[in-house]
Amino acid sequence: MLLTAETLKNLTFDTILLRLLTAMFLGGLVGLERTRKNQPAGFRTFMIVSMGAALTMIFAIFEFNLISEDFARAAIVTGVSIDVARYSAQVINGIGFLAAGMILVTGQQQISGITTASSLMASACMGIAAGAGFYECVLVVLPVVLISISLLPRIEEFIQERSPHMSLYVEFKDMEHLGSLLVFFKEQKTQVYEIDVEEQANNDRTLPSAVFALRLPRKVHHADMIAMVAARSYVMSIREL
Amino acid sequence: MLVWFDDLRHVTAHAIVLRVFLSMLSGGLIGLERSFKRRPAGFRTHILVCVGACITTLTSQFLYLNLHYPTDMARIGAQVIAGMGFIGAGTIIVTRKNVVKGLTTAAGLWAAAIIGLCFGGGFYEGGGLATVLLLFAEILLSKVEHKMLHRAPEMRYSITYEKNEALPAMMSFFRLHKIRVDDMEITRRHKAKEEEDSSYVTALFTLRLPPRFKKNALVEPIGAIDGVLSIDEM
Repeated sequence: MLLTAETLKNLTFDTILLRLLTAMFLGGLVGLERTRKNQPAGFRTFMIVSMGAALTMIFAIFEFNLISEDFARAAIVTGVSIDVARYSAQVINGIGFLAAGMILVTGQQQISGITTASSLMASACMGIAAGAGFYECVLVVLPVVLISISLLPRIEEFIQERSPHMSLYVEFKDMEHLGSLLVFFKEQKTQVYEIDVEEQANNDRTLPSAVFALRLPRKVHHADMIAMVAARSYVMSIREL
Repeated sequence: MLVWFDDLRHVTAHAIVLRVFLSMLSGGLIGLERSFKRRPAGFRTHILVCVGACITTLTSQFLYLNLHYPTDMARIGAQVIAGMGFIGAGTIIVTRKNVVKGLTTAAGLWAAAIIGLCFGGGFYEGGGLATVLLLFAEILLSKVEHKMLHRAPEMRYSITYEKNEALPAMMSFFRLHKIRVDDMEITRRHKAKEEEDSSYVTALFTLRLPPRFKKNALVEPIGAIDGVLSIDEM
């Protein structure tokens, strides 16, 4: 079968397969970067979500086509047609919930999983476009996706690694050690421009903690700073946020 | 579109039986693979979700085609897609080590619902193709994914040590071998409540190994550092 622009827009067995495969491919591509980063959602999850999203669109178009053919009588009697966008609109909703389940707030005032969640949303949206047979959009999106998964992480790393700013979450043995740590930062010529202190709760289980926003002197690596702070005996737990 | 389904596009007794049966079959196949891998949502869950979704589009077509109510056929089915997002989110769990699990099951359950919608609406081709593709992704690509995860340049290690000097030694080892420390988390624990001095420290590292750096080449030298008690890959 010759695949011209016109035949691609029609819904046949071949174009359905093509659209589903396109959606899976795009979803898998987004998921690939997540898998490489050892993130929870592998590329299969992205492929399945993208394919499902494409299927909603194809199904809606299929039902719409039936209205002008097999269902013509009902359409005339009732006087209503079908909203083709209705199924796919709920995909946004449903994937929003699904993605929300992946975002987690750790006990250390930190949120993780947002990038994975938004990648999942993006792959669902691409699936909808592919399902609609909107190949022009797919062709435009493909390079954008490729750039954002291959180039942008490196740029982000490059910037973050060289940034003198860092946030540290520290748990102390006792509240009074906060002062000692501040003295230590001063000795290291590290500027503390924000402290968020969480005092010990009434029960004995939680330790007092603080989140420091720091500005490191030049040539001090983030990991070195963590190691130096961790070496203090009153520091019970530490991590970079 | 395939010609041999043409008589089954209307809501007739034959079509109802076929649609429910096909969605049961499809949900069963997807669920079987999950059960086989001992995932929380298995055989029955997928069948129920798929058949339930099938009933919604079947009912809306019945309202529209047979009873001639002026309704949008897509309305009931559309809410299934949103609702399954909720159920799917419920299958996702966060373990104590802040690891998220159950995502593929959630996505599979969600897709199974959409496949059910297609069968219910008489879209046999779409439902069938999607089932095949889904099973393809679940069965064949899971091996590919496993391999990729195994080869992922980013690794997480949990290292326990009792001497503070061990940490700078580790850091210089990482620097020497161009291993990047993406994330680290350090927690100090006391062996016993009374003994203040005898503490040990657990460090969680997220490391980026350079290409062609063997994982074994990391574990042994780190383990040999004075004061390091244990090293575990996570």
